Amino acid sequence: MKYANPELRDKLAAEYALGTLRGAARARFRRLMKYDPALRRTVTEWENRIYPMTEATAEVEPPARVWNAIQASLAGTAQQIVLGFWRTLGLFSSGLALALLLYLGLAQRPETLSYMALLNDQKSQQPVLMVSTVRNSPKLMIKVLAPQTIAADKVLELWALPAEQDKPPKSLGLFAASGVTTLQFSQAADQQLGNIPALAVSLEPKGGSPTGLPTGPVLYVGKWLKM
Amino acid sequence: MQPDALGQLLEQCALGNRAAFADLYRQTSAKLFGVALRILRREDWAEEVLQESFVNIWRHAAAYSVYKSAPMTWMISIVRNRALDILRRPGLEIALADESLIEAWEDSDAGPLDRLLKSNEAAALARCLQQLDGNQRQSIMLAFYYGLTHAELAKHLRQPLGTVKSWIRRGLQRLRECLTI
Repeated sequence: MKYANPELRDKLAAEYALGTLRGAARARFRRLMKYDPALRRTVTEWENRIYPMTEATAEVEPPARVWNAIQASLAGTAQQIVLGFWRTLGLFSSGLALALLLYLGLAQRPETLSYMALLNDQKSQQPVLMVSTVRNSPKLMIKVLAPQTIAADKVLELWALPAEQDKPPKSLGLFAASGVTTLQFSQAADQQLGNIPALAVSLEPKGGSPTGLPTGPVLYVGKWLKM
Repeated sequence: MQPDALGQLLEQCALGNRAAFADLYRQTSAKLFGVALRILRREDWAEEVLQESFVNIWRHAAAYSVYKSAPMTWMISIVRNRALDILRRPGLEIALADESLIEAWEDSDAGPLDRLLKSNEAAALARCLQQLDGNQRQSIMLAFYYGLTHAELAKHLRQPLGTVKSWIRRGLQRLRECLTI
């Protein structure tokens, strides 16, 4: 097959990204790309090279009806498609052995890890989740140690419990039921979460808690520990 | 607009967070609408492309991380591809960009190149575009911004098809070399 020729692959990838590859050739190239990740990467490299040209394109505010139409066509789209995808990534198996491995992996550079929580399932008391921050980084990392099965219309939401009893918990964001989710803060995450005693996860309707407070059952809880 | 912040919104979209999706739309729809409008030059089609693209962005947000590109690049790719697909519609007649607009591109100091040179994200690319021959730069930029085919470019620039194709091919090769350094 002539698509094996690296020069031709690069030329077609460049023209695909530029937009001059058209008609049936464009459609054929797109099909090839689906089954050829290396070709997809070559296209992405070209996109990264030439798409900055878009910086010169004027912004034009679209009419409100576009957003309305988007929302209408999304009504009722299934959450399970999304979660199904995360599961197929299958990065993590399960269990304590992995938690230990992760811990050892992190323990090799203890100077970077600033806070960590292992969240246990309230029923089984098994660790399900590891949440951690790195010193001075705005990122909060959530690793699911044992992939969780949740209903198609539900989602997991992470909460920071308040330092004072009479304050409400604060939502930190939604995360995938398997694999790794990274939440980004505007400032260093470990400083913003410095006074937090514990983290908790509740089961919420898709889209997250509608009220800003946990509405579903609390599934996992763990102490927020300074490393 | 910070790539990290947009990436975070996409991750939240992948998890079904509608508020994050609304935020993403607020932050990027004007730029993406501009991209579609430039290629299609018809508002109704550009609206259609923007709508379909955002539905796709929502549905495929989880796949975003697989591509090693900035969030905006990934979204622009979706919009451009939908817009170029529409240009394939049978019997479609689109008024090409008017001559004066195209002539403005021939001057390397005018218009888009000037704007690119002033932008942080595109400055390296702009400097490399500047180093191309005028013909190469003009055909690449016209093809990119207006979605012109080789044949349309040849007609507009009043040059043989083979000449235009080789301008683009050589121009792209030189761009890559220049951006690698």
